[in-house]
Amino acid sequence: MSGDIQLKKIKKILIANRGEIALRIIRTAKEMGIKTVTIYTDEEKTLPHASAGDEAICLGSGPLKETYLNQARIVEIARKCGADAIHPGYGFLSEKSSFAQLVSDNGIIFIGPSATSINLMGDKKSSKIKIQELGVPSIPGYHGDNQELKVLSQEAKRIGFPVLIKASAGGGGKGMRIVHQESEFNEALEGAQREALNAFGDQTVLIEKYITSPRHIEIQVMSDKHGNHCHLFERECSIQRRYQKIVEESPSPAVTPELRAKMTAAALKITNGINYIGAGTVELILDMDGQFYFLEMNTRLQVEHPVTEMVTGLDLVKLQILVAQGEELPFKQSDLKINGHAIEVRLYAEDPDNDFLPSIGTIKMIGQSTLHHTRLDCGYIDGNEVTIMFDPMLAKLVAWGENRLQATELLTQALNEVVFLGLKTNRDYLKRILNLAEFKNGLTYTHFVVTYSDKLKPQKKCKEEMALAIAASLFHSQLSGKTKKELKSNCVWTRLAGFRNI
Amino acid sequence: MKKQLVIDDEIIDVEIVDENASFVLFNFEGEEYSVNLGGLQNGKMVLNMKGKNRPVILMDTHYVVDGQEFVIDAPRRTRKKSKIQDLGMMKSPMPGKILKIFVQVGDEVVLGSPILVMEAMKMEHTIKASKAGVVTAIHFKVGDQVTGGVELVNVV
Repeated sequence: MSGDIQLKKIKKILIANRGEIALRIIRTAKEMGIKTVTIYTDEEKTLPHASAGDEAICLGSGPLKETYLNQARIVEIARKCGADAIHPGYGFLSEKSSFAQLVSDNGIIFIGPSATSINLMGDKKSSKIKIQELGVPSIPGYHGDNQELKVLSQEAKRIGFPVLIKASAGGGGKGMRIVHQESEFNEALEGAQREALNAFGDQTVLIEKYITSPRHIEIQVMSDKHGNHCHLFERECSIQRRYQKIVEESPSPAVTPELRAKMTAAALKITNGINYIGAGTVELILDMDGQFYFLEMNTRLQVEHPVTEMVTGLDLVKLQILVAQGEELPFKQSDLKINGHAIEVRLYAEDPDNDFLPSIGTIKMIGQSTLHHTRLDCGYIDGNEVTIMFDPMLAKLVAWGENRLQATELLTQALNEVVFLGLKTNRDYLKRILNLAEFKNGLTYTHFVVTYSDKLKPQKKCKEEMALAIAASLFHSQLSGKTKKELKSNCVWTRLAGFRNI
Repeated sequence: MKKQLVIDDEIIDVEIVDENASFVLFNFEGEEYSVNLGGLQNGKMVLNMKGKNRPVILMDTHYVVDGQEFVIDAPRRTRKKSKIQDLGMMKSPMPGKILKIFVQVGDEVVLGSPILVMEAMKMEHTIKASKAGVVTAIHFKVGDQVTGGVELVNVV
């Protein structure tokens, strides 16, 4: 098999993405001596990803299907600028098999799995059939084509309430509803179908048994073109709001070495069974009794990949590029081990105390972490505008410690520094989560945010801290105009104000 | 000297006893605070209170102490915030599209009744009645695109 694999060094990567993940990919590419091309829209000219690469191409403005989702145009840009590979990041076109196909049809390397794998795992129905063949358990459910109300409601009864309705083509919690009793079924189904149709243009749904105290555990996998399939252990991403992850960690406090062996073996059964190539994630639902079920496979880099990088010491983007070049994975499974504990939180522009409603505005200032073993992957710089056009995730903050408690404490400290001034964020809310005894005890189930909603309410601000803020404001208003200006803006043009052209 | 400050939309009285470029002594909510100014650079200020160094991040009207954010402003610069609840208006929380309307003019609603569903950031948000009463006006129809902060319905 290895004989057929062609080695081709990648010299220039077009990044078909934006924000923090574009910057993340640029960093590794730079370290590997690979040039990068980024794309951006008219509205994003001042965003860092528009200028962080070696070349940048403006997509103009318009709906996403004309910009970041415009497959033909992105491939055309790659051809014109001589990129020999395209990295899709996550979201956008990363799991569109037609895009992977179009890219390779144009003689460009798609940094990701084959179109066949994307296709197979991208559809919730076909993926479940395949993994059942491979002997990996999945959750009891109905994945049929018959979408008549009568059939769906009968199937829900057969599976037994509570059930979960999900958009067949879905992701990110769109088109998803939990139904506790039969009487709520029809209304929930209608809502799920409507959301599915709006978000994915397809209202097909599937119904599954709803597991009452589940944990979301996922196995990071990495395979090369030579038939080597490795796993990079698990991540636990149980804490979610609106079905989107907000706290992710590795290893999971719930996974024993025995359970880890079983879960990772199941993941490798899948990557072996489908001849997977590149980075992927096998998402599993872990029940209270240690049973786990296949949920889905993400055929791309995950948002939360930094926690795996911190505990394994590996660079996942680098591995993706090596694999895409046709190289063998530079390690064997037995070389890998989990070192310490890493936790990531996702900072969102949203109001957690008002139903997590997304917020918009200008970021006046982003605080930086000064602490060792912390990492901030951020897609914005001071002065950037956060609009409703894109995902409201601002940044990911990750901390590593020798154990879970150390990682938690370090992350809490770092969250004190990494402020996003000027708009509402979930920063304080994330601190509340980390400080909760239930979090420290590892009682992290997917409904954590709802279960502990009372304990997660905002606390009254401390009087002493308020007094210090008052003192700071008194000093602030005393300061002379000049110093105040310096304080306000560390912008290079302000600092250059004394210079003149000669 | 008495001074009024608006902290997070609340008016607070502060009595300044002594003040110079590197020291303030003031009373606030029945307690006296004596604070020295230490370092000052790049949007950061270090204050010393009771021997403890306390870093403060500051930018415009934003002050962050130990991770806690405060917005402090002089009273004149703060516009009075109207409470949506008092006016019986349900406003769009942000720009989006009206997907579904559950009520008609003349309908009676109770606090928390679903009024309509909006789509914003590709997610659905249900706008609920912020007070009980009768719907007297619905300002949009299904499919309409609305901007943030506009009145959607009136309930009297």
